Formats: sequence, C-alpha cells, structure tokens
Amino acid sequence: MRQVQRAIDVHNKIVKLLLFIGLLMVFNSASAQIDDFEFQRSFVKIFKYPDSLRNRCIPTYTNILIEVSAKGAVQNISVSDSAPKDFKNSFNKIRKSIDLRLLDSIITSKKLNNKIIIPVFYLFTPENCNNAVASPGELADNYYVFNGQKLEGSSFCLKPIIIVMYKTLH
Amino acid sequence: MVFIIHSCKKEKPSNKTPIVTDSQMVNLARQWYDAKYPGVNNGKLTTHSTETGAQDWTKAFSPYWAKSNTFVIDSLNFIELPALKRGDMAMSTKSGLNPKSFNFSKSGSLTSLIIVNKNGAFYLYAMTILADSAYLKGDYGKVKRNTYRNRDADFTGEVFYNRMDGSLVNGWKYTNGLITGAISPAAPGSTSGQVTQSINKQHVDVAQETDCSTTITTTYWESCDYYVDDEFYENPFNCSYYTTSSSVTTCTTITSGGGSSAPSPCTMPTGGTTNPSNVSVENTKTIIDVAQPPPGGGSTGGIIDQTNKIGTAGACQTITNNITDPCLKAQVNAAISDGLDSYTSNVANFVFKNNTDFDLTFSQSTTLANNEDGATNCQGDPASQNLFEADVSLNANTMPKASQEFIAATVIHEILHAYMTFSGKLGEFNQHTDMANNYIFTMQKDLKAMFPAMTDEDAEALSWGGLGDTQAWADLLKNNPTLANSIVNINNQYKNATGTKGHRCS
Repeated sequence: MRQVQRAIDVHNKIVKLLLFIGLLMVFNSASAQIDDFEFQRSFVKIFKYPDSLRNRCIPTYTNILIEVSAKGAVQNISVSDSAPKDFKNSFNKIRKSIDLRLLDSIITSKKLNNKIIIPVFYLFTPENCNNAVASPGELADNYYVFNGQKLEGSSFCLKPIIIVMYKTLH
Repeated sequence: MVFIIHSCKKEKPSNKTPIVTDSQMVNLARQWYDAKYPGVNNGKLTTHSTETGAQDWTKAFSPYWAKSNTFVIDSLNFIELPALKRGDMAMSTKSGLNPKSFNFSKSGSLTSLIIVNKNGAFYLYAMTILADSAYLKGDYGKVKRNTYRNRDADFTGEVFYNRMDGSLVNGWKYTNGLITGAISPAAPGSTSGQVTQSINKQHVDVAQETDCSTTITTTYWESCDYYVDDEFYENPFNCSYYTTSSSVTTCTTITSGGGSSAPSPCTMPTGGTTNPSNVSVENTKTIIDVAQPPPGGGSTGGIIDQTNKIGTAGACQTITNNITDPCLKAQVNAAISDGLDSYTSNVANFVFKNNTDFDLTFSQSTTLANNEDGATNCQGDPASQNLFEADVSLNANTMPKASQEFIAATVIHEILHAYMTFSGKLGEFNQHTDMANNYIFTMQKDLKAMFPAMTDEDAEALSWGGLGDTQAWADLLKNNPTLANSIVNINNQYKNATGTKGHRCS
C-alpha cells in the first residue's frame, strides 16, 4: 500500500513538473520578442553556473526581475526564489557587474517604468542529466516570488535566456 | 590511458584571411578602392569639388598609396594611409569660428585613412586625431607622432573614426596617453552640454556609474579646385569654406571603488542608450581622467564597428587564458597562436576569437582525477548556438610535470572537443571516435607546427592520447599490438615527470 502511494506521489510530481514546464513554454511563446541579445550575451559572459549545481545535475528555472523607476531608471535587479540557493549566491556576486545599460534602449523605446521579467533556464543536455527538479511544487510556487514577495502589477517580458550545459568531456 | 586527441578531415575554416604580402594587400585595397569610388581618386578634378554638407568624404580625401603602412590586429589586415586632401579639413571643439579665417595649420587636427580587410572584404574609415592644446604646447606638428597603433605617452585629446559618409563610428578620449572616455554618436535630440548619468541613486546597488556628456564637434572645411596634373593637390584655387558639425557623446565609467575607465568596447555606448527625457540631470560630476585602456582591440583606442564586427573580437576577449601555471599557460598560448599554421589555431582564432558570441576560456583545475589530463565544459543557447561558451581545464596536479609537447597535445584535444560540441557533435565517445578516425593526421601536423623537431612517429603517438575508448584504438591493439604499445610508451615518456622525451619547464 505504501509503495502504491509512493508511486502515486512520484506520478503526481512528474505530472506537476510537466504541467509547469508546459506553462513556461506557453509563457515563453507569449512573451515579447524584443531583441535583448546584447543583454543576454553580457549576462551569460559574466555569470558562471555554480559547479555545485552542475556536478549534481541540478537545473535552474528562474526569472530575473528588473525594477524600473517612473523615470525609466533601473532601480534593482534580482532573481526569483525558484532559483537554487547556490544560483542565487552566484547571481548576487555578479549582480553589480551586470551591464544594465544594455536595457536602456528597450526601456526607452517601450517607455517602461515598472518591471521587466527575463525568464532564465539553465538546463542539461539529455546525454548529460535528466533535468529533474527535486521539488517541482516548490519550484512552481516560487517562480514569481522575489525575496519572499510575490510579483504584483504589470511587467514587461523579454526573451528568455536558455542555456544548455553539455556533458563534461575529457 | 587518458590523454589527448585529434585531427580532422574537415575543411579548414574558409574565412581565414588569405596570406598575402603587404604590397599585395595594398594593391588589392587599391583595386577595391578604385572600383568602389571611381572618379574620385584620380586627384585631377578640374571643377569645384564642394557640395553642401560635404558628407561624402571620399570627395575630400583620397589615399596616399605610396605611403601606406600595413599591419595586422586581431587577424584583420589594416592599412593606414595619409589622406590627400582637396583643400583642407580640421575638427575642432570650438564652434562659431569663421571657416574662411580658420587656421588649419594650427588646428592640431590630423586625418588619415584606415582600410580594414576582413575575410576579403574592405572597409574604409577616416581617423581624425584632435590634439589638445595642453599636449601640443604650441608644437602643432606634434600631432603627427600619433598613429592608429601608437599614441604619444602624453597624448591628450580625442581620436574619431568616421565612415566615408561622414558618420561617426566611434572614438576615444585620451589624457596623458591613457584612454579616459569612449566616444559615440549622440542620441537624436541630445543637446550640447547635456550630461546624462546612471547615478548611484538611480541604479541602486549597481557598483558603477557612467557619466556621459554630449558635445558638438565642428569640422572646418576648405574645398578647392586643382589642375588635372596636380596629383598631390599642391596648388589650389577657387577655394570655398564651410563647416559641418556633429553631436558626440563621451562616456566614462566610474566604479564604486573610485576608479574610472572607458566603458567596455564590447558594449560601446551608443547615443541611444540614454534617454534624455527620462534620465534626470542633477549634477555635473567631473569625469575622472584616470583609467587604463580597455583590453584587446581597444588597447590602442581603435575602431569598434559593431556593424561590420571590426575591432570587437579582441576587445571582447573571446579567448581568455586564466591559467596561472606559466608552463601550462605558455603551451595554451602557443597552441592557439594566431600566426601558427595549424588547424587547431585556426579553429581557436576563427571560430572563437573572431566571434563575440562564442567564447573559449582556459583554466587549470585541481579537482580532475590523475588520469584526466584535461576537461572541457560547454554550454550554449540550443536554438541558435549563440552564446556558446567552452571552458577548457587542464589538470594542475599532473600536467605541469608533463612535457610541453604533451601539454600542447592535450590542449589541442580539448579545443577539438569544444569545436565538435559547437558543431553539434555531442558525446565524448562520438567525438573521440571522430578524432580517432579523422583527426589523427591533423593533430600530428599541428604538433609538428609547434615542435618542428618532433618526429612523425612521436607526433602521431601523442595524437592518439585520450582515444583509448574508441574502436579504432581497439582495432589497432588487435591488428598491430607492437605499434599500439609503442604509442602508449611514447605518451608515457612525454607525460611522466621522469620521462625522457620532450621539453619540460622545470
């Protein structure tokens, strides 16, 4: 009986994860396709995925939140609580070096004065890891939570940053 | 056996700059110029050459081919030529002067032409050096000491790069020979004297701020007629005078630690990156003139043309060698040397170095197993392969004791892993199989290019390193065990600290 319940739990987790990923894909496809490639490139160049996560095959599904003032100036940048702790730590280390000027033209052209969301996915190639998430429910709950605060109000979504990590070669 | 790599039957990248002599390059450039700008380079105009605005600079300047100077930066061929001027031209920060009475000989402004060859295509720019009076100290010929590659140690002023339609590409501000600001076209609507800042209070928690000021640069023109036999424009007549002007933005990044520098040339500030209507101007901080030149292509304050991807490769450091062990570091540098005639070097330089979207980083690791000489980690955007990054780690515990030849072979092996992953061939086994079947000869050739005295036998043996998991190696063991054993022994002789083959750093 216990084994059956366990199987159901696992099944539910998988279904929940698949549903969540499906929602992400819908979300992505609906997001604005504004070209923020320069920002993406700048971010990827300075952010190094933590070895502690990479070596344990822990992917990351998170959002970068960029808060913009009424005058169009960037006021804060953070990642959602769905990011693993080590990811957040690594992000915070390079946070001050992120070249936010690369978003100025988007902020200006779109007259943005509230929030920008950039989905960020660090995934593994299939031959490397299976991209399993230990607690899919927790991931879903925190995807739009930033430092414990739920995202509220309107926000402008940019193209996701999707990085796949290949298996280490020798 | 866990070593190295190899060769390829694939074609070499076709975008390598053809190897031509300096004079051939100049001749090719001249042919291109004559075809691109017919009728403007013969120096024999008999009619008045002024046009309102005069933004076709090819009618004002022509290359002085006999005094061309060629050089290579970041694998691109450059030709620097004095500009023959039909009349005169000078840039100035002073506006409102009568162009007819403007003293061109005391302007401190010098314009040369820069031709860049990239993958066979030519691009023409005008470089104008505008020296500050504090630098000239009355010696107006002093500005000629400065060239594209070299600035006087005490040079203070600006350097502008323009396309031949007169539009500004980029520029640099100098103070005592150091770059202290990046110059870019001002955003439409910017006004002179405007100061835009990413002030700390606006960019909360962002440890750097960028001060940008917009100024007007005035260009004074003298346009004259010349007789058809006046090849070098020495006897002008019917001269007319006018001015043109452009708004430029000069930005300096100041870090919270107090230092300052020109913004990264990877992300040259464009006039459009600031929003005059949204970014308030509350103070006018003085730009701190203490900075080191940006790295790579920006070290001389050169052309950064994002459109044509000129000057962006070196500036963005898309190959980074973070290795600290001097022996390992040197072998990495040798293997990817731009001047080396090797497949691996070509891959490194023309796939990674010359493309800001693909990065290659070398480091050393203390966590690799003793039988792992190196490792390559790759990541990228699966949709477009943009943002591709390859990190090659060398075993810091074992490799410093190996011979330089063995280290080089390992580096080549790992670079091939990076390139194969980039090319879409995934999986260690697949890549090793490809190396064993198709790349042995190429790696052998690359090693010989680095170590000309190495025997073919040794180079081939090192080429087999790390390929012990392949069917090709299994077949070799079965069909020719003597050769296979010899390959293993040769590798050991090159790898082990007590080995008798190769050159060791210590």
